[in-house]
Amino acid sequence: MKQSKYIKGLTITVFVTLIAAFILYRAGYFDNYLYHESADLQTSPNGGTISQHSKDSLSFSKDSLPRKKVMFSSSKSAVVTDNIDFSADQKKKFGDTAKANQGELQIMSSSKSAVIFHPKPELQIVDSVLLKGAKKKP
Amino acid sequence: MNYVNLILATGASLLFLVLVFVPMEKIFPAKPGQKIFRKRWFLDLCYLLGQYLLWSGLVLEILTYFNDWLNKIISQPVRISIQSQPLWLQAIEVLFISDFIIYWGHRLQHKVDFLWRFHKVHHSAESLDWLAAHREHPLDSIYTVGLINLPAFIFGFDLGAISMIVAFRGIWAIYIHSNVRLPIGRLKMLIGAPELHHWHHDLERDRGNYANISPIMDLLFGTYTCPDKEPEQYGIKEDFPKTYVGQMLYPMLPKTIWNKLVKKK
Repeated sequence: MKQSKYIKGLTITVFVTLIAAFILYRAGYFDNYLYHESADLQTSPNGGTISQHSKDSLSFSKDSLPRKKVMFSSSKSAVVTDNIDFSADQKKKFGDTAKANQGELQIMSSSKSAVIFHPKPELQIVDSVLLKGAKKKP
Repeated sequence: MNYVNLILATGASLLFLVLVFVPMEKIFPAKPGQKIFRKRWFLDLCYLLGQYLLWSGLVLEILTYFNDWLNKIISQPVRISIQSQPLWLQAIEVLFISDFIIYWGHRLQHKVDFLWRFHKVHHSAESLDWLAAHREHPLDSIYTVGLINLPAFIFGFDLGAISMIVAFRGIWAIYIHSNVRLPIGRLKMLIGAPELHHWHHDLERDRGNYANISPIMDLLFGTYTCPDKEPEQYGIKEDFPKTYVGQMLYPMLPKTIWNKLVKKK
């Protein structure tokens, strides 16, 4: 059976829209909607931001601002979700800005796979002054 | 780790992927006769669930460990100077170097028997679609993901700054496995297309198209192939287990032990 032009057009539109939405989601643009309650966020007494830092965050950071660790994933699979955690506690941890998922180790995909959604690592409150001080050490 | 969240994330991912790819496969099928619930779809579903629920976390942990180790190879000032480059330049550098490394890494997977043992899990799929993209041995994932991220690990390229490109390549990697044939003209030379990757999954182990997403490396090194039709058959010529556990174990066991295990059954 031949598909009508409208169905074909609609299918491509949905496909492109969903991929665009996924890209924006992975870039953190929807975090404000998914993980709000930013007013409940704790902040550093020194005025720093709450960030997610992994063990080697210093080596990735030019300053105390949180930075997202991104990696390519395999070409066979992709994790779709970034994190689905609806608990109140997690909402407090996430959601401050569109860049709330910074510190996550994202991976670059090869041609086979990429994980679409996956849970984020635990957040950690980091004192920006301490970070700056640590960075200056050789 | 919160397993409820993990299961929710997996369910959401599965639903999303169905919404993205199934309509495309129905409206623009590369092989019109192929059903959604085709042969071995459950096996591939096991791979998807395995990746989300078991292996992706482990792969990430292992790569994080290597990342911690590799990012000390180059001094911090050099890494900072790399990160200080214009974003567009960083993006071009990291994508080119990553694609170069993964291209040769992938060719080796097809050439070297030891690597092929693991990689042929992925090639054992006899039907290609978005779900079959997830058929991958976790050790193969570590190899592939590790190689493609090597430049970022060593030189400290800021992939976070190009997270949109990384995300696009992630979802496109699934798309190129899908049962879709949708001509996109010359754009396929930049971002790849299912018609190219389907030929990579031809029965012949060294058919070509080893590049990751963009076929530029295949063009550079003479392995580009794109006949004007779909391959007759996907898969491998060798005998291979048909179960999830079997495919997980087979590459890791010496042949003698595997044969004894199979005989016992």
